[in-house]
Amino acid sequence: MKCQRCGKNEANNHFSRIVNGKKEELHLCSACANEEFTFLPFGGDPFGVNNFLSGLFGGTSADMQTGVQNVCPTCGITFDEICQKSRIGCADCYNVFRSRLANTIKQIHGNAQHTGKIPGRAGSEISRSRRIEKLETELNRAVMKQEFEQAAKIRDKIKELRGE
Amino acid sequence: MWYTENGNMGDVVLSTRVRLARNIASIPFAPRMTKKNQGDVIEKCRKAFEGDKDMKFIDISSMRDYERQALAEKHIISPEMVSSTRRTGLLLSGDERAAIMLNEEDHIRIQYMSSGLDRNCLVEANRLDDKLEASVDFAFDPQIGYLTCCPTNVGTGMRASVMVFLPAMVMSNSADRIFRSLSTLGMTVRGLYGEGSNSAGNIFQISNQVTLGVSEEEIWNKLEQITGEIVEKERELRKKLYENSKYETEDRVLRSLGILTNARLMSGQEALARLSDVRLGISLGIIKDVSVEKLNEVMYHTFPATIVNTFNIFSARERDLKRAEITKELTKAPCSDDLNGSNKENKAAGYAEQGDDLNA
Repeated sequence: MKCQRCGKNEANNHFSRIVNGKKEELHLCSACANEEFTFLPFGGDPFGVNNFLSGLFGGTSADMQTGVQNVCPTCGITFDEICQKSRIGCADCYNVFRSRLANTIKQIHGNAQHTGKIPGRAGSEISRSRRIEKLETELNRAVMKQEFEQAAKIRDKIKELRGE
Repeated sequence: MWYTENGNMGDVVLSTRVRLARNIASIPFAPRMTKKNQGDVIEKCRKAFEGDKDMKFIDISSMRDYERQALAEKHIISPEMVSSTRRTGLLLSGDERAAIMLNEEDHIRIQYMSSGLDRNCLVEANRLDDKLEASVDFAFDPQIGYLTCCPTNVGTGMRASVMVFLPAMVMSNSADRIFRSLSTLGMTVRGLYGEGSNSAGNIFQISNQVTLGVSEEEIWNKLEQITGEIVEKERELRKKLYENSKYETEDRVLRSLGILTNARLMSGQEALARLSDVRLGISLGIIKDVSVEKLNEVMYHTFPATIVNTFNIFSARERDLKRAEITKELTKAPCSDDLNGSNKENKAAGYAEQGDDLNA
């Protein structure tokens, strides 16, 4: 069996452990095992997510598609390399490979829409539109309940936020 | 320090950590970074904390392996950072609770740690994030949230975790079953100092799996609720264990204390396992003259790189000898001077025999 880390040498170090009730195995050659485990028990985690994530990207070179962008113009990383390393090259990669990454992200998180913190400066526009959205829902609810006084107040707030 | 304190639910929850992953918008991520990029990340972040006297910068890249490892043993830096070949740095608060790792997998990893179960970690990590954000533009996307080097961290970039001590769950063989059900609830369980559920020391780390589509508060609330349930279950099992096998439990606990305070040679593995028994003994009221704080202090001092770093001992055999001296301190008065090494000052010189095996 070949080493799972370098793929070159024969694996003669075998590790297994149970995470969340699932057995994971790792087979390394001596050189790689030494690098990974220099400082056990605190050394590198041979079961780190990068060793298991590549499957989620749906293969490697076979996935190269014609007619679509395969290289990020900002950082120069190829989609192939992202698949191999399970690591993204730069912030723009998320835009360039958006549709292909969307699937992976959904598989990992089961969700595809961020609902958490928004950075104040860069995200002031986003948080404003999120607040407007929320107020619009409130406005509809108030109208349905025929609470027109309340609805008028909400409408004023929305106008203010929109800068009208 | 926080890592020796006995915090909220301290009989089960040793510590809490909240980590936020952030990247700087204009700088490529780890796989495409140049040395200059790495330097820029460090400079920008140092600048953000300029004037903050409490946050000290530490150049991790220039440290020796065992010095880095000693920081990892206290969970101040990650194992990945110990072995990293990038230019790495750390912004660390005086009380060692706030630790901002620079050029780990992500440009910035904000961490806040505390003893016991402590919600304040979320508040403080958020505060550190705000402070950085005032001068650094983070990579952010309205849909995917904070953009990270690995897609497993996108969204909030938040990982909230607790270190829990679960000896009764392990002894009653219910740990695996409980961990499996935690997994279906979206939580990850790891044996901290070893593999699987037979982790030496019976210490486990529980953290959230999902970071996108949930808010920071939601992640925290879920961890808090699940931790609370685990604490209750573990306490119940400990009580049952003591009721059902009183003398066996007392024998095991006191025997371990006896070995820790009388042995001449003590391996790291054995120390962890024996200290686990003593920790259980304290929580059951069997051992009354050892405090949890003292136990924690002794535990951290028995870790291999910490021994190397404190006492300049590089051979495994001498470390076992020193470790046995350290564990003897358990029943001594709460004076820790002996543990902190008398030769700390004259350790500036290089040490040739550094290649020795630290795993023993």
